[in-house]
Amino acid sequence: MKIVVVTTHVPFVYGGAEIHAKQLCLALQNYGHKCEVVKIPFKWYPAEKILDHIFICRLLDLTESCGESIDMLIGLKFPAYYVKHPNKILWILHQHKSAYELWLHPEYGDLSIQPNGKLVREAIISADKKFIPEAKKVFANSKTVAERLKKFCGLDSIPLYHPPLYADKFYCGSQQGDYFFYPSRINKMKRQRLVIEALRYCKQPIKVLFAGLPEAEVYLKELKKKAEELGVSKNIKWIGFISEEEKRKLYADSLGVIYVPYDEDYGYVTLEAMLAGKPTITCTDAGGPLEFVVDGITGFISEPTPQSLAEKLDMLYENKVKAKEMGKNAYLKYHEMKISWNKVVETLLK
Amino acid sequence: MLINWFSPLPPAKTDIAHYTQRIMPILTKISQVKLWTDDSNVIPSLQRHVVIYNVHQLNWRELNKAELTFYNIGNNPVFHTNIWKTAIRHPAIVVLHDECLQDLFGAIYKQEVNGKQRFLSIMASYYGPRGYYDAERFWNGELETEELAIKYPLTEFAVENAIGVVVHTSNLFNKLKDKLPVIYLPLPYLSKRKIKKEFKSKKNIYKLILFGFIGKNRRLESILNALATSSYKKYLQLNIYGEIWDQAYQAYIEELIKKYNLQKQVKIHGFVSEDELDKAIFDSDLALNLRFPTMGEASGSQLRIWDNCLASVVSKVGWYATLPKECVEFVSIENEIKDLHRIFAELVHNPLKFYQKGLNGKRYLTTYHSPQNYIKHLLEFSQQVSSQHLVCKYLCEKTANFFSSLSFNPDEHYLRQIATAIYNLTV
Repeated sequence: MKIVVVTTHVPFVYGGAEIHAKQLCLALQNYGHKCEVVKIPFKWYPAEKILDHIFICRLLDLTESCGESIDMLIGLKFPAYYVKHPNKILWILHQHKSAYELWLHPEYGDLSIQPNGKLVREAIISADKKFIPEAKKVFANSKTVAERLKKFCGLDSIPLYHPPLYADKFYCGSQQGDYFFYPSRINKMKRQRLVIEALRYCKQPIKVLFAGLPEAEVYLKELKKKAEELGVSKNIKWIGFISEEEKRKLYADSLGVIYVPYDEDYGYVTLEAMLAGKPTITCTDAGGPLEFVVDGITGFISEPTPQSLAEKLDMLYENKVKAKEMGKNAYLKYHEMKISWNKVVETLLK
Repeated sequence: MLINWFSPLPPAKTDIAHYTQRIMPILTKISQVKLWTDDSNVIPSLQRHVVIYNVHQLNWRELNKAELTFYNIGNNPVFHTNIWKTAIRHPAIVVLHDECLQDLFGAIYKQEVNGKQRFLSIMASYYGPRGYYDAERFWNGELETEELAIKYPLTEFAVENAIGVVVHTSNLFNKLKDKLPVIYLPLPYLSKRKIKKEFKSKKNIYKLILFGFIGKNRRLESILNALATSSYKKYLQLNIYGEIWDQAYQAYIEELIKKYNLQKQVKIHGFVSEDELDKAIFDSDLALNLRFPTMGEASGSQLRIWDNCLASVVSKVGWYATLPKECVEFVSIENEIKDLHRIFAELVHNPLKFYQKGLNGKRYLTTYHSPQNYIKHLLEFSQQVSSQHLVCKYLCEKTANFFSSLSFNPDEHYLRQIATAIYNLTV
């Protein structure tokens, strides 16, 4: 079959969503299909731009290319998943979060601070309710995403997990290190700030390695300044961009992984930690990671407060044997879940 | 449910403030209400609901927290400029109190940089070349606002960005019903007067009353003329309550009273307490509630007259012309003084007729102007109405602008496809 994977792309931003689309395309190609990722650029501010993008997506014609039919369209993200096609499957990474779970959020809700935000929000909800059901099948990136779709739009979807990039290359190091690893884009929703604030309450000499690029340099400066003010700069290392190989090594040698985003859709980091045989510390409001972390068994689930997070960091630090055991449990759990691209392709194309 | 309510508030000298005050006790029983105002001078009973805002620094997140937002918009720029400026940026439900809004927009655009160009462009857009030409004359001082207002009311412009509109007159409803979601709800009034009025068959003096904010449109000059020239002058007494528009006009009226030798018949009381005014209305025999020109408003004063079981005389124009003849007496614009003479004569010869009209008005008020019904239908309408027509409008304008920037005209078939795509997206 000729299949297009349609997604949106914010120029100069590269993360999980981009990896997801690329990996899906490769998986489909491995099955013998012809596949292309079609990326639609997206800008979400000012709010009325969103209406433009919704409309543009509805106008696009991906039913054929150069006179030949495109047999299937797989839509991944808003508003790309509005593109019409008679054989459309949706595998929703997330809806437009600012219109849903982040609406009115005092820190992350950017749509609700705009004068016509409510109008645009209603347009988004209306479009989602109207056009998502056009698809022959609707899958969601995770139970978290499926639950949101049901809660806000009354629409059913099937959670479908997929492996992180280079899943087969992760390993657990022979030596257990003394640092916690937090690889992720640096932005407010990933809550590196929460970790910095927690370090101040730690009783043990906790060390944290933050890997990843900031979405805005000024925000990284803010975080570093915060660390200085709290006197925990020496506990933190900002290592910036790292290669996939370097990342796997840092996972492998870590004591554990911290991943405390706010209401994450899926969370590759959790799965990568599991593949590396490491426990993950996450928070009660982290969203996707909670589908994989079992409190006290494969990691810890803390309240999203610095004090509670500090307590969990100390607990893991103080009991390295337990940390190793939790890591093993995490690795076994991942494999029990049988997450694979084969399963993804078979499910999508069934 | 949380509701944002933008309105002038008492003691602001507008009936829209009183309207808000009347419905608040019922609205606040069923929802949490935030009263948004740019004036910190608010009566104590409403203080706890008040949010003071600065139109240049609005907290959009706070506004977005509410399920419903209402903007009360009328013709007076003092009270409605900032409300309208908020409404065009944050679309919601407009409660439109006036049909003619030239005073409002004339004042707004005279304050703005490039206001003239913007105003002329709006007038051209809604009324074509004639509108543009007369707008220019108005701007240059060759035309008065009143002349512009009747021909070019700018009603549709006032609600251009509204999700839905609530109106209080059937005229306004008919005007807007094909253009955007609109509902007609009779102006609400909480009936206070429980005592039934007694009829007295013979009186030496019949009391006339005129009250409220008294501008030239209240026809006071005609009334004084009619009183002075009436054969029944000695049986009539006119009491004027409230505020006369400005000192110059008040001085002019006082001169007229002297000129017509009406010092015994006419008394100007000025502002009195609400209870005192209600008593004065109740004790009167006929209210004079003339309005010309009218801005298309429904009259809260009329409802107050009915609540006090009092007959009234109204101008046969606008909303007043739609009132049931069993409840009011009409005067025509063309024969005001002649009609007033007739009515004065009838009052003296057949006071029972007017007594009956007063009772009819009371019955009409309690049947059709119930605040509970008003709130019920207001909320039902507001919760059901969709904002999608605004999205449709936005996309149509954007598409039109795009095509107008091209050097060729797209064919009809293609335009139809675009129109269908917009329709399917928004309906």
